[in-house]
Amino acid sequence: MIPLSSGPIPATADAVIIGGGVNGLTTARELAREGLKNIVILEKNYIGSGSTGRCGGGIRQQWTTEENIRLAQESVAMYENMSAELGYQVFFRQGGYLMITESEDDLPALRDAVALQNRCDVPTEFLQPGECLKLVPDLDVSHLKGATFCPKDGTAYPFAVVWGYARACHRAGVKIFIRSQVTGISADDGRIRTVHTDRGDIATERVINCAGPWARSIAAMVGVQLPNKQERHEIMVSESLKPFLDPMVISITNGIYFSQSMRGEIVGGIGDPSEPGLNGPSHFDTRSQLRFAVRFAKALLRYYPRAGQVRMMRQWAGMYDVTPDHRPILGGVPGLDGYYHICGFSGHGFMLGPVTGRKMARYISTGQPDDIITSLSLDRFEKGDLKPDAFVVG
Amino acid sequence: MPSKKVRIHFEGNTLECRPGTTVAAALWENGVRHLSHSPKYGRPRGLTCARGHCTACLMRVDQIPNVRTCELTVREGMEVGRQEAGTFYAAPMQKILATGSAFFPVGFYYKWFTRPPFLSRLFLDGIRPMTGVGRLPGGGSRPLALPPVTETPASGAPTATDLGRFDTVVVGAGPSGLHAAATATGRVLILDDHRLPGGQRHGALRRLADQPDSNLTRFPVLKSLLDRIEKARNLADTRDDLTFLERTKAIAGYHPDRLVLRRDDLLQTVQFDNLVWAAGALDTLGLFPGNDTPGVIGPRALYRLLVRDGLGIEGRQVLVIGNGPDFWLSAALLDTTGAKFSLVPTGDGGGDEISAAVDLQWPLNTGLTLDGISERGEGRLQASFVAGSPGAGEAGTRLSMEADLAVICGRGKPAYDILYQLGANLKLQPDLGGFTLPLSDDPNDGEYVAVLSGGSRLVAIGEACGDLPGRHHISADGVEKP
Amino acid sequence: MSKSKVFLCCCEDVTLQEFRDAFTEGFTELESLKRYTGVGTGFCQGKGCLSEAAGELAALRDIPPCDVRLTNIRPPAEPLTFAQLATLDAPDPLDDPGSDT
Repeated sequence: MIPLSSGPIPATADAVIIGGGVNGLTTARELAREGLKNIVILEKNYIGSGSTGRCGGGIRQQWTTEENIRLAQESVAMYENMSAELGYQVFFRQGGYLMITESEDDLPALRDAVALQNRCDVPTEFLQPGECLKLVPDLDVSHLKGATFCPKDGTAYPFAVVWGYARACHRAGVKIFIRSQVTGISADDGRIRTVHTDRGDIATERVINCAGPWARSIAAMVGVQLPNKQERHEIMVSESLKPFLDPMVISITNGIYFSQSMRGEIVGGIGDPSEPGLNGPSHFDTRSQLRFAVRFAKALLRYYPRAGQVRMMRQWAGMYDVTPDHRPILGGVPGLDGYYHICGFSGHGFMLGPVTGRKMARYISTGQPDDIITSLSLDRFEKGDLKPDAFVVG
Repeated sequence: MPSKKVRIHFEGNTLECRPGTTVAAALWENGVRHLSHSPKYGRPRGLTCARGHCTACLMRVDQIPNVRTCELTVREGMEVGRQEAGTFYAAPMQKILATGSAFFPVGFYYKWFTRPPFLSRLFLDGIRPMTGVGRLPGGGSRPLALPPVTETPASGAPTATDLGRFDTVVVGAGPSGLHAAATATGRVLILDDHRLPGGQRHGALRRLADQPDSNLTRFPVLKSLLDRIEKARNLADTRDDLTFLERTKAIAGYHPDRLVLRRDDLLQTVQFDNLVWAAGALDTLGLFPGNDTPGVIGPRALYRLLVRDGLGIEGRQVLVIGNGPDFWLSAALLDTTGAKFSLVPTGDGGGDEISAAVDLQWPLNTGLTLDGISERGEGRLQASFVAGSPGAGEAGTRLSMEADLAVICGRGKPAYDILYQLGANLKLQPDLGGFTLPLSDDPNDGEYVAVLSGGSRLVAIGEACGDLPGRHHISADGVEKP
Repeated sequence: MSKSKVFLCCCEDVTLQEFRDAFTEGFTELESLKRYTGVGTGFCQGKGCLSEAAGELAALRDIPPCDVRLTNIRPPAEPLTFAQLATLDAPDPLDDPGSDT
């Protein structure tokens, strides 16, 4: 059962989590495991309705800084055990990620990345174009200059993760309210006091902002200014076919990614350089454009001509909550006790949500941040202490 | 007049087909009624919508998976096959799921085999070959050749990929659409998936009208449907600046003002300032036991199969169940084909038509409610009825009838996909057949209107907004409100 | 005599009973019912079943049908091959800041 609370909003709570996506649900469950009682999740639509439910479900460890690699590695380990731990199948399949490039200029950085990943015990290999054919037999390698492959990367089904965590939350006594919108947050004396919703007020000392693309406006309710921008990204799914593609394929050159889900559908997307991005206004829009379908089709056929006969079934869009260094923002803010944020995942919330939820829950209940939380705190932007990844893909 | 047969290959057999017919129709005539099997329970599926809307007729054609055989014209040498379940244990698994479905609750695959981790991985490895419907054939990086959907070249229709911008685009050239196109201002594009304008019922009505000693006059409701279509066609003919796209479907809507059209394999895009959605309705079969049985179809499927595809139905048994003008049109159409048919009118009304049917000595069974349909052998249906009104249940007498096809007639379901994609705010209105635009707030408007982002105006008329055929006509630009 | 199943979604083999059972499990929105049971996610993309599923949900929740929010119907309305799509020119990006949906 995933019974969602339908009674009245409680008047008090030990923690109020705003957002019922991967971040809100994993954090709530981990907080409950840490021993906190009376946890409430507020979701303004239905659980998974935001970016989590719209994403492609990719999970990788192929990053270019040690910090990013280690964080992702912990997340993959969590995904490997997630179905068993939750007692709910999340359909995590480790088909690997094949990252390809058409440019010689990318090769040195790729080789460095592979070496670094290997030092962290991530089993990535550098491949010559011809070697990619062992993994994706019908890949058109004629444009490629090199590739990397990590067999432990994979994909999972976002809604299964959402429902699995929701069930675990429910078993742990967490109350999840859907169709409930936060209208304001009150603080005084540097402490969080009350969360106001369209269904009543909740007195609480802890509020955790897991609102994804809406995190910036939630933070503004308590005077916290986040540098996040919202970007629209489109994605599509094909008809369901018998399995023929094992890895996720990502091109560093044109940003296309595609993989075959457990349902047999090709799931994939491609970035659009005409989207405003960090330097433009936020683009809050989840409507689909023909432009995406055509650009994706052309880019897909460039690498995988066999897909010419495969039919696109539908396309949709979701929002990335993007930060200046494309890395999440964790922790709290000085001078405002009880406020925490877990946001800014820049398109990697699904793959990192479980691990950051666990770490933040530990921090919230013990008061001791670990190194990654300190490293990813909001003040890094002021300090100029940014360690962006070399490749921004997917 | 005999013409040379087309030979296709089906699972090791060579079948002879009438040229110009569809693969699905040809298979049906050759006794192949099971075209595919459903993904979870392995249930046989066959002729259902016959118009390219559903999944029942998906087959492998010349190695290409998931081809809609109800829309594919037969071609000499074509290889057609049913798509298999995927692995040797798939079909038995489907059987177990189907017969033991009480033991496999919905979503069971989320909750079972989750621990320990190795068992979970084993489970995923085990089910993966069973997932997916068609199989992409292997071999090389060469793109596969698309089979031509039909052989007939389009006559005179523009073939440019981008058709540009029109003041008004009308989707659907039935009576409502033709009216709108005739009276719309500026440059007008009108499209329809039939070869000639007239709409979903035109071919069937014309077939009826062209019979010597036609029954059309015995059914005034049908005569008035045809009159309305002809009147609208004549009105549209008075404009010499209309662009009519034949055999063209609107297949996608992108906000704020773009449609993607398809004619055979040709895709075209068009932009509009105003869109009139007169695309009519889809068949609704209803929720009853056995509603997925091959051969349970709706009236629009029947018109398509008989008029366009020339389905050889002579001597076959057809049950027509339901009410409304489509019920009587189906019956009258069947009467011209040499099929044996039985009519089961349900619901209220239709008194005049029933009298006409009695005069014609058509087999009529009144006072029955459909209880369920099941299959007896491949392609033979058995429909069970209960005497008395719905709810008579176990108390009423039971009756069953056998047939090769069952045509379920009633209210159609407005086609709403593209309206939603363009940003229209739709409401579920069961009394209008399904999701459609709500009536405009403006009391002077009396129309089903939406203003899209970007300012384009979208109007739904005819059965696309839930009108019953011929009964009540709401039209764009205030034309003809009986 | 055992009754045949009543199918809500023929593409994905979802019976009416399964839909009702999923509702009882806590999936009370059409969007989540769609994903959990598979209703409306098959090749026909809901043409055959979404109105019926919405009507059934209205009955289960005891609300007027017009209050059931339609799921997002995403383009295209008919499956298109990538080869077909690649024949089109990609339109320019829209100059529309969009809305919060």
